[in-house]
Amino acid sequence: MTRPAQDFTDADLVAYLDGQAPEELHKEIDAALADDPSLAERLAGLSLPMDAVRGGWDALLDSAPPAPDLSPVATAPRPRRRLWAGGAFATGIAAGLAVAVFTGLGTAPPPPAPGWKAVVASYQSLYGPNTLTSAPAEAERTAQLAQASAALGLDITDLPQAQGLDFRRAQVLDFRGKTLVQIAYQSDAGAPVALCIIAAAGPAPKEMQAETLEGLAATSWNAGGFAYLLIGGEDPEALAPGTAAFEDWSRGA
Amino acid sequence: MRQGIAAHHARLWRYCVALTGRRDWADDLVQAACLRALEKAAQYQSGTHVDRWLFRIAQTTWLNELRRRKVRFGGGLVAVEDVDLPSGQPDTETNILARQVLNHITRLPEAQRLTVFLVYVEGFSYADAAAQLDIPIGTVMSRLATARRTLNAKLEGTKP
Repeated sequence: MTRPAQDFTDADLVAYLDGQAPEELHKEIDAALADDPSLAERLAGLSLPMDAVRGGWDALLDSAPPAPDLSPVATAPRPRRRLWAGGAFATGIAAGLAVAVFTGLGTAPPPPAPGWKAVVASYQSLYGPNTLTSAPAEAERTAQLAQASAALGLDITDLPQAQGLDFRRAQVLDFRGKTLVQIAYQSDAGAPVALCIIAAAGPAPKEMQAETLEGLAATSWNAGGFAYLLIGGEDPEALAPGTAAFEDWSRGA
Repeated sequence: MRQGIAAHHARLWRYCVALTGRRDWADDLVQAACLRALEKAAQYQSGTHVDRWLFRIAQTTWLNELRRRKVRFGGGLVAVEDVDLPSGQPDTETNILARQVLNHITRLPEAQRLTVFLVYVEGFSYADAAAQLDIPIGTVMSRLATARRTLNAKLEGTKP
């Protein structure tokens, strides 16, 4: 016995057209179609030119804006057209990690900007086991260290080799106008680890401090007017040899 | 996460067009959504679809923005612009139709527009679209039915 066509809702018919109707419903509609031409008319009234639907949206992809520079230490904020007065919707990408998105008029003031260790930790948390699988040739890495030394005003070309850490690259970054050098390593356990160095606010040395930042093991200390942060992996023990080697070096031991 | 964002940026932007119905708002929304994604990168569960996770972030970001401003869109309060396709495409019959359909879809109420976009453009199953939008499957189906009727009637009216 065929179900009468009026039994089917438009939602049933759409599921049928979309090939997402349960098998039984599908069969019932097939059977009803053979009996009742009005059902075919209803289906026609729900039909869409699917190629055009997809084609229009696919063509739109070509005009997508370029992906923004998401490096958290990107330099000066790029002012953008304010779309909605009072909103921070159009705030430059660079300011993004420092300010809460959508803090507008009448809402709480933005939280204080995070310190350099928090920003580094947030950046480091984006590194995965595959981020540093390849390294530039040794000559290039040596050149990177020389360039970083010049930018930082501290000779780091003779940084010691730390047990369990394989040197992959050195980069000169910028933290709110201050040079920040990141020396990236891959640990024996496959974790990306970074030694970051930035000029300290004052000349006073600081004891080594171990903590967890963004879920990553970290140690930090100040020596010789520079602040150091070694961060990466989840195991604080695994950072110990690196911390010892770099801290000794930084204190001129 | 940065790589994930870069890989899906164009599609995320397109989803923002579907969310907001406007290109210029999509430009701003995609930027805000990328920032939110970076902030929340630790919450991303590896093994799940990055693109769908990003879509959800864009969605939440958009809803928060709307809520904050207590502005209602899609109810005829805001002038809708045509979402023009990139120029340089030949005006073939196919392209003209695609452009018409695109503009009709962007003029649908937001709930229908998003559902149509996810199912017919992104190819989500009803169940996936329901999960993405946090609505029952029946609602997905009824939104599609309403949208199909509207679009079908509009296209019928423009036929020579």
